[in-house]
Amino acid sequence: MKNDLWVKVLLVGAIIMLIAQVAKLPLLFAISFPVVISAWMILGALRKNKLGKGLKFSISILYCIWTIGFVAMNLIDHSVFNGTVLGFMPGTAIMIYIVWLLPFFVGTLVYGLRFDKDYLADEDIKKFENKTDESINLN
Amino acid sequence: MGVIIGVIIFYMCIVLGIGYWAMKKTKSSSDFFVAGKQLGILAVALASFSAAISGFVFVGGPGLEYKLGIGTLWLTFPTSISFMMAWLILGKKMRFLAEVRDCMTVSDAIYARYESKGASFLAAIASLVGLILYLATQISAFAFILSPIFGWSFKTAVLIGMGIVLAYSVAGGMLAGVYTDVFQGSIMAVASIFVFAYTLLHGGGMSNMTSTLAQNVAPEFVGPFGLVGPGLAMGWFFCLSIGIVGQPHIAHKFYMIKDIKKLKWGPTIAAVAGMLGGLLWLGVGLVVRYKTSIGALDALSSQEAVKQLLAGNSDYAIAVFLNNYTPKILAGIIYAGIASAVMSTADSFINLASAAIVRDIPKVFNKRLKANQELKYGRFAVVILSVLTVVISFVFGKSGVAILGAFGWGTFAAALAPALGIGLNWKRATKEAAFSSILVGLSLNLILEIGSKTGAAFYTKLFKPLGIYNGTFSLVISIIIFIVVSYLTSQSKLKDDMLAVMDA
Repeated sequence: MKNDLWVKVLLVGAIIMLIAQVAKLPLLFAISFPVVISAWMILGALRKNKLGKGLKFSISILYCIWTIGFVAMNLIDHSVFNGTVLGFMPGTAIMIYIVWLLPFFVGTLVYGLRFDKDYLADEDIKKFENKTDESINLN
Repeated sequence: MGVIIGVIIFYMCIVLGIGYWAMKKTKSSSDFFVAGKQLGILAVALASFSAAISGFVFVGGPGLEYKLGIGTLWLTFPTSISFMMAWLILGKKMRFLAEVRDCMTVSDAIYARYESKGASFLAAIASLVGLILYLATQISAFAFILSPIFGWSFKTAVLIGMGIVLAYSVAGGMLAGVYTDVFQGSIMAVASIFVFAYTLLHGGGMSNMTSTLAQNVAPEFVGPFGLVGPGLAMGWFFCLSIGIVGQPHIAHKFYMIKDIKKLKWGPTIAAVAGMLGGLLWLGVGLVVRYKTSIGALDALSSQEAVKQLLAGNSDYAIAVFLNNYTPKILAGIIYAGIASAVMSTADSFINLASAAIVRDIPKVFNKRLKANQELKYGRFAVVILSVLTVVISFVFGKSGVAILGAFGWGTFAAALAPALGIGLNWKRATKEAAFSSILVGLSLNLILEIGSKTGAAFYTKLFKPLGIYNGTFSLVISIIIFIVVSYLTSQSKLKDDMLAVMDA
């Protein structure tokens, strides 16, 4: 079962996160927490053990944004002011434009656009109705 | 102040009108607790947005940013993606669950999934504890807003605020909260854009505020982690994003939605509203600190809100900005918007907490109240909860609205996220695992937070030097326990309807 695999990934990520917190290793934390969040999202997105194309793209890009974004912010020295990028210090510009704004477009919006294909198709509702003898309200 | 008070009174009349209309519509416990399971997506999305942020973002956020810098925005920036996480991980499962079982609370969902009275009881207790903390956050925010306008002390404002919220909640139930959220959520989201524009205007643009604060305060203040450091800031982001799947005030809203296909655009609506609220946090905290750093507030130090702010009560930042740097009508709308946001959110929390008392806990002891008894005792439970809330607001309210909100959020996340968010998506999860992770997540977070707030020796020696967010630390341990215990214990056979929910 794919769920089992992703739960194991989630577990490994969580253990690394714990080590990172206890050992005070922010860079290790920045690498491990996107693994936990992405694995958890995949668990929610799996349908019949498969991940729809749109959500696969979305979660992969989000994983890259979080990992690269947080690692970059950890590596930049914020104790020296070297001018601004679009109104903010360089690390803060990554925070605002990449880690805050971009996920809305590649995550939240993609979920809405791919909802019927990747998350809940009419056939899923019919199958559920057949299995449970319930009639789902669709208005 | 006359214009501001006039706008507030007008706005509040509309809100109370909505509450009265909802009261007329509330006829059963299903109406009272889950809005009759008949809501459209706009209502669910805006109610989720309002429940997730409200007083926490509009009062606590700017205050915390004023004190600790831009890094505090990690508490609100997850909103661009966290609603999608909740919808993806829980939305479909919770909504299907409502079709096959008589579910009204998160504790009901835990019982349906694990058939464990112990786990369900602990989920009800965790809901109760977290909801009271969150409620205290809202009431404290209410007090910070009301006290400078009407010249009341913080404690008087807490008592009056609680009284107003109480009257509103006892009468209207969940319907009142949800429909008020649609009204005030839309207004606040739009008003946040105007407030942000005024912050840029009075700060001379973002680049000017950034460079001045880097010079006058510290470059780190305007860096991505602020003065809090990367460990804590990233911990906030983690817990405030994925921790959303443990928030009962978000999760139980999936029961309320009328048509399951309407789950489609919910995260988009909630995220847009949440991100606009984030702009207010970003702008107000920065511009007020900028004004302080250039000495512009010295001339205004006779004002009570300015006096309080300069004395260290940073949650007055929003009041200082609205009173001095925005047109009076906009200030009145924002004040009223915050007050009604607090009212509707507090209303949702109060009703959820009373559901835990009159439905979830008796159920564990095989006692089931009749529908009219649930409604009657639910309203009585609300009064008891309010007393507890006032006490917590008195003790912790002044230590910071955002910090108190983060305490409540962390408690929910650590206790409920694994059992709910992983458990509904993984058949191998067991009832022993759910019980253990809720117990450990809840107790650990409470022990750490109380240790931190009281300055206990164990916390100061062992945990404070780590620079972590207690909610994240407890959530990570709760996840590990949930998965490991599931593998160590035998899997129970799921009932057919539950299998259908999990396979959907």
